[in-house]
Amino acid sequence: MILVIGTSADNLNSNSHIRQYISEGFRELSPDASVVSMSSEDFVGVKTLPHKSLCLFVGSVVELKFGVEIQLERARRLGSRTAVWLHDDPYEFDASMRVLEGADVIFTNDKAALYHYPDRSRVVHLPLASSSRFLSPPISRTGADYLFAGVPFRNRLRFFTEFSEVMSQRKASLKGMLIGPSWELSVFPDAIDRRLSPTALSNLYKFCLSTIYLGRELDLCNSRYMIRASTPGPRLFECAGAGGCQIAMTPGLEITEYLEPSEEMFLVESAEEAVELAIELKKNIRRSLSVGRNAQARVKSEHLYRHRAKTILTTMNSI
Amino acid sequence: MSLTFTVIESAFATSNHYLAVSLVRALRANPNVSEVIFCDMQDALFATRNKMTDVLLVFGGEQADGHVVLSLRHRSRMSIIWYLEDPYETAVNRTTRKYFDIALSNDADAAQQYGSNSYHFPLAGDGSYTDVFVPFADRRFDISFIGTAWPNRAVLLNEIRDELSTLRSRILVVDNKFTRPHLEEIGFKFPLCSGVDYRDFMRIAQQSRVSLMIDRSFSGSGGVPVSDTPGPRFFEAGAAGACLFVDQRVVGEQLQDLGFTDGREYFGFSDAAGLKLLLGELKVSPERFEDSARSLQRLIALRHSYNHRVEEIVKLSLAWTTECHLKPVENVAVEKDAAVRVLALAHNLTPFGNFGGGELYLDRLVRGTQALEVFTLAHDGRRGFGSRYVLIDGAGKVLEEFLPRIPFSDLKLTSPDVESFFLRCCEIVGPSVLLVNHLMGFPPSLPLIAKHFGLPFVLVLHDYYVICDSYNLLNHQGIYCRAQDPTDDFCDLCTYKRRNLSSSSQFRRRVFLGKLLENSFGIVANSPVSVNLVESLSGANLPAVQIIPPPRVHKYARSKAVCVDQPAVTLRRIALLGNLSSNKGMWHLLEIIRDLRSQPVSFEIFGRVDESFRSELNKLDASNVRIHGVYTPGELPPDLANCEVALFLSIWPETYCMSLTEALDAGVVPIAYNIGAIGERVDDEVGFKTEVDPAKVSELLLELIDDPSPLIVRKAQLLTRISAEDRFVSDYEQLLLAAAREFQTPNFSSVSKFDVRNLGFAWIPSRWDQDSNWDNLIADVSIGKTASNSRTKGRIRWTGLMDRFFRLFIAKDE
Repeated sequence: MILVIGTSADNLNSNSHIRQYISEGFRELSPDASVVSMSSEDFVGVKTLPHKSLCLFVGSVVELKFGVEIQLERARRLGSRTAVWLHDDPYEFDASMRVLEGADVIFTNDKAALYHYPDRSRVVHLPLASSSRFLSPPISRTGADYLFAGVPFRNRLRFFTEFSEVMSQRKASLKGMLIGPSWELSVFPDAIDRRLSPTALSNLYKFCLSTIYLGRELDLCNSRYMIRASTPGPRLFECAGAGGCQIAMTPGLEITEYLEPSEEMFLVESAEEAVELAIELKKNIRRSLSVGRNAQARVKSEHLYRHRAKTILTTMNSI
Repeated sequence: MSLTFTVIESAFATSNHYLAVSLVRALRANPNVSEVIFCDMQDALFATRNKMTDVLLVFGGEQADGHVVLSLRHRSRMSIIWYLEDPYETAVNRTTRKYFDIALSNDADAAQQYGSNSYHFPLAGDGSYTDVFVPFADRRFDISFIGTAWPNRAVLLNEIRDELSTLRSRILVVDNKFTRPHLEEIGFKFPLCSGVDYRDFMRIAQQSRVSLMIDRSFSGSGGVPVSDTPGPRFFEAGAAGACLFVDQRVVGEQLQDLGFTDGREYFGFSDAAGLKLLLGELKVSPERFEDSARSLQRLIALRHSYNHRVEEIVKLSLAWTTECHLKPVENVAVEKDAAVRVLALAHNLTPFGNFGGGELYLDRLVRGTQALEVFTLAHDGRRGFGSRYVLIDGAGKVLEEFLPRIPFSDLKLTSPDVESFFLRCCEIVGPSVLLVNHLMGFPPSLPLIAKHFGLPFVLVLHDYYVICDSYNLLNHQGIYCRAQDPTDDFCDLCTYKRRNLSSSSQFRRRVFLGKLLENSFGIVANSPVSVNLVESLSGANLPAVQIIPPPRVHKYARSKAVCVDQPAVTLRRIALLGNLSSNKGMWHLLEIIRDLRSQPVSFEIFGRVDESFRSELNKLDASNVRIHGVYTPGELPPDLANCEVALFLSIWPETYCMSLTEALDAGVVPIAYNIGAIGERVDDEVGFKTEVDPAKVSELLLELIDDPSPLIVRKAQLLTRISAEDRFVSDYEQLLLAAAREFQTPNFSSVSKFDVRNLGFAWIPSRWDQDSNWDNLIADVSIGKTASNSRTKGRIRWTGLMDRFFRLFIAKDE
């Protein structure tokens, strides 16, 4: 049996749906396998497990309420193998020390963080991925000219401030959708202050001409080595899986290991370049569609949770 | 000759960790190096216990006089420090130079200031990158610059902005608190970011035809030192295959000394005009710079990778060893002929107040042992909780006293002032093992700190303090809580009702104390039942547990003589023994007395009695109750043996119960609640057990009054079981000596430089009643309006904020 268990309370984690996707990935990989997805609260109630079970804890380990180390120990006492898939490296790297001793294997979402673990023999890099739920093909691009969904981290604020300035300088008439909580409406009057479900977002990816991808700049406890993230987050894979055409601006180049620039996404150096590209795509909708389809094909072959599930099982079987 | 190395970074927190990783990789690859221990500050002293290597290599320089680094010197035959932050930190580094045999500096001028046996050691390139060269035609960028926005760099970048805009460039400029005011003044025109990881830096360098190197001429502390030696980025970008445009005003001379030639391995410029010329050429004929990039990469592979630096380090080390500078090898397997020194943590001592528990056991150990020399760091609660601590020797003499200005609160998990006093005590005593007799009154961080220093600790479970602050597991209603696991929801409710603490508090405490349990060398419990409870409620993976019943403090021979002479025939006298208080079932006893008022039996109460019991008893007007008063430990009350049964009505799961031993040894048949160690120790052959209900006890007593035959059978059985065996002292000695033998006695000198935050658990909040960490986290958040709110409001209570923080910002939202 494979148990996919959230590490933090569901009401505090807006990404708890990822747990569901991971479980589906395991089921797609082995349809006969018994896979259970559960919250941290529910796992507390688990008192027995079948022989050779795997307890995979997924998410962030910074929150103390759940006490992931105690649950790891519980899982071990129930005779299960244990693994943790950290989703918030390196922003919460200091907290990951909590699970180093308790888990048989640690999977980290970030490659830069990987190199900072003292004993790397049991730590494996595993980026997040896309759910196969989003894989319907993109058909038209009748939505906004550019889309961004997320919270205003510092880098994103800078980007969109510049992006708006360039648009007004160019007198570009681009229809944009900026969705996410806490955008300053006096600065970004068109921002939509809400959080969309993953399904709703995936539909937007399919219909918008371009989707901006920007990383996260927000450390919660990363003061020891001050590690800069290098692996892109789940949105990149989810949007690509939905067939979205992404304009990405990331400080590093690891993104190119997952999607091919100019073929499966566009990599830009500045907000100015992003504006130019969005204008160009508006004129060339077919380009947007073809890049989106290429991205989707790449995700189908490499970046579904099914592929990650395979890595997890292979790793667990090798130890 | 092959050498063994211990490598440690001098500072716990560092952004240069990748350099140390490259260095260690090169060390491990060197044929003259047979072993490399790469220590993490968190467990360095523990990991290197009982080890001796040839060379200690300290990497960094910051906090090089910290306790961990200085202690490690004693575990290596020679020591080398490689300072990385010269000349910016030379003044500080000069104060730590004296601790090390050889000093290496990244800066040539600084190396001159460190006296003899000091050498200039520039940083280097990572040899694992020099095998790949991406042809210029395939590269994504014409030019890249990655670095901090020091003012001189910002000015120069502004000046060449037009030229850069015509090239494919990646300019990643990082700001910090020092540069921010300058950048506004300068009117810096580039977007700022938080930088990239080392591997991304290398990827970008591999993809850039040219990498731009601009000096840093700025110091946060006011001076304007400039390094004469190229920094690590020069070697790294060169190793990755970029051609370098180098600001050579300061480093030009050193570059030549290191074998790099302007126009061949790099292109130098001295001002914006010179750089603009180079950029113009790059625009027109980039291929011109490809040969230079290849030539630079080749030279780094040949002479300037970490492999070459390691070769030099090995040469220096071998030369040092042949010059007979070596310290004699310390005898690692220390003989333990002399009495082993033990430092005991005690929540109370018998002179401060005798409650018949842990303090009595410790007293017996201190007086009874020959093999151990026990010093005690005791909490003296007479002045109030956490207000006085004393260090006393085996004879009871006070060696040190500490009166915290603010009394220690049991809500704290760490406490710098008590921790400092603890370390001072360690320095005075020089213990080989720490005995945690009871943690109450102390920050629970102390044993973990001990472990960090390589001092093993043994934890004694006298009660349940390690799993709940209500150490006898009585809940807010005063009854045994029967919590099942560490995350029991009722624990939140109970903790809130008892102490008005926020949810998760108890759990947070358990997580922390669970670390203690897991890290102990051994755990001593009085009875198996308490171990099971601690194990299930802590959720921790317990190390070896040894059951050592408490010592017999009473005079056994006398009690046996008494009991043999007094066979029971009828039930007339019912004994209550020990400390009669509410958790010992005082109110239950009142009910039983009420039930049996008309029966021909008396209740004989020996020991301390709560005043509230006396007043309630007076209301009952019970003439069949006799209060004998307090008896001296070790002197069983003579009248005890005249009783036929003794009641044990503890409403909490006791871990042993000394008075039960006293009753058994006096041949008095116990009637006990079936709970905790008492329930475990009383079996049906020698006593009676009932569920926790005074009515059940009354019923049983009435039955025995009518028919005492079951009592007679049990008493006869009881007399056959009495044994004089008392292995308390010898069992403790055995365990503590085993711990001491396994570990080399740590060195506690110069502990003043120790920073408890360097331990792995330091990110956990310092108190268990609040997640104070969140305040710090919020302070770092520099996004959106919440950031400005948190600044203007200063400290925000975490309550409620955490939820908002998660939902709005963290959101694991990419």
